[in-house]
Amino acid sequence: MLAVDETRAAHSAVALEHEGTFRLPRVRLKHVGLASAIAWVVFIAGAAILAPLLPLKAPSAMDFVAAEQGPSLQHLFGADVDGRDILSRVIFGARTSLTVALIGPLFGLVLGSIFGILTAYYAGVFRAVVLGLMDGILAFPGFVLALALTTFLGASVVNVAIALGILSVPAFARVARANALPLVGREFVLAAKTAGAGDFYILTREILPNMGAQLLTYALTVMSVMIVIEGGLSFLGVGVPPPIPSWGNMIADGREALERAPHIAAIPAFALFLTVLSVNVIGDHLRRRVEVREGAL
Amino acid sequence: MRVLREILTRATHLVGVLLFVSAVTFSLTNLLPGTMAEAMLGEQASKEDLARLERQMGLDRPLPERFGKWLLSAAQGDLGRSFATSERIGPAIAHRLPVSVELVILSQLMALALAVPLGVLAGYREGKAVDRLLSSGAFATLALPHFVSGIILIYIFAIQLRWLPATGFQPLSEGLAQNLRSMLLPSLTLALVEAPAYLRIIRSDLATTLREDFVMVARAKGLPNWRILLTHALRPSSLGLVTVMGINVGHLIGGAIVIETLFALPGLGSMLMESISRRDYVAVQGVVLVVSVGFVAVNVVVDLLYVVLDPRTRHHARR
Repeated sequence: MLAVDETRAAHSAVALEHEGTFRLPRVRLKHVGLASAIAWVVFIAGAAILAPLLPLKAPSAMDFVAAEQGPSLQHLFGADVDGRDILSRVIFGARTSLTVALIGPLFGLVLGSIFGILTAYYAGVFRAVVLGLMDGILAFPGFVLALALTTFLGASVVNVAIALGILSVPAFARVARANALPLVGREFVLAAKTAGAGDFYILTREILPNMGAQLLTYALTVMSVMIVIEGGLSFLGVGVPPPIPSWGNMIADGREALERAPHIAAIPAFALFLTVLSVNVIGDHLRRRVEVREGAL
Repeated sequence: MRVLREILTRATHLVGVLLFVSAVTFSLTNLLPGTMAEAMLGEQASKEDLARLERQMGLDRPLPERFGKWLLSAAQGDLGRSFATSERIGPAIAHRLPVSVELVILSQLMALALAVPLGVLAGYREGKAVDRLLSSGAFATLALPHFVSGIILIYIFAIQLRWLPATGFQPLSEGLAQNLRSMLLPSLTLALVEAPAYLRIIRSDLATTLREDFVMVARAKGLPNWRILLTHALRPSSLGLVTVMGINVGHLIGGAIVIETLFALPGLGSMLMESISRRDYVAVQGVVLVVSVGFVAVNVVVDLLYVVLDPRTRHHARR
């Protein structure tokens, strides 16, 4: 799944190459889009972080009288099948998404960068083993591996994040290796070597800082994929265990009442859509900037 | 000689990948916390009962021996028996596989039917209002996961309009029309998620091709636009599409699992989910193994297909 996203990203980059001549009338609209995307991400992340301090109802408190009712003063976004406050659950659900979207890519970023840089710098058996291992992970359909890992690790927010992190290691390693390879032979690396710098110094001080932007941009792409996969796992009931709200399990709950009370599924679905779209917009923008800078070199 | 070596290298690689996939799948039920015996007897089971069952199932044998045994019988198509239903896993998978395959094929046909004309239109009118509308539409649709677009389609077509059933699979034996009616919404859901990626690649490839010299020559010869598009530009613009479709297979499998569960289709994906909820680990293991090996096989086929479609890669291999 992550590999798909990589190509999707590459294609959007290709698609954007031809935009030059039509820039003028679009610039402002684009900036409005980017600004709203950033605003939404800041808003939802802020709400998620501050959730326990906000005047919200408890996300698992059941108000059976209000069950399946639409928006009211009591429940601004209405209540779900068990009479739980949807506004509160959407915000606490954002905490779940945010946790997974931070821990997962961080895990992949750290391990993937280490593997990627080391396999770019050292040859031999080590490289063969690591690349083989990465190929092996990629040989699984991503979602199936995520499903299997969370099933056997046990369902919890952190386990989902770790499973997704493991899943993203090969993709990060690939990006890191591709970016590190051309750096290994560059003059400043040779200069550092001649000056007697050790391998560790070269890897962390010469090579890593020169590929940070690419890796972080890629991490943003991975974030939106992970929000979607976590939603999918929780939707299927194997991600985040039930009393903890996740947009995925909220949508699954709403599926049961789709005919009587469509808002139960629609509100978390809309939150998920807006968040993924916003992260994609920001990622697309950053990717273009990183690529432009590379082109200038 | 070189070709032979290339084939040998690839074959070795493939065997390695298959071994790795089987080893990981085997480890799922054998290395991670909570042994199978515990899963079968429940958490309150006594130590003696657990030990007896483990002996019965051969779980007290050393790990490599168990792996070898399991691999040997799996290679012969014997994936063991389900804990829950004591049904043989192999035949159960064979019984459910056609539903998943039908879903995937139908959805890909629909995705292409949506993406090719719209992508050609967008690429041809590059930068114009139509293109901007289609491109932004595709970008936004990329943010709709399977379970969201599925629910939207169910709400519109099954609940509001009542044109199509939301659940209730009809097998082919009930007639093609009945079968397609029950497969329409699930396939459309899967198609809607895949189509934007296809549209974007066709659009950008076509726009690039249209700038090539041979297209200019065709224009100079006074050929009508539709002929330039269909006979000159579309074919060289479709290689990217094949690559993306190949890479997309993994994504497709994940989508099929979600969609089969959402629409209650009796395919492999829903079998996987049912087995997970019943803690039927032998069945989970079997499905994961079959799906993953299938995925590896499809990737090999896509690689070969690419060589057939693009003469340049063939030439490269021969040199």
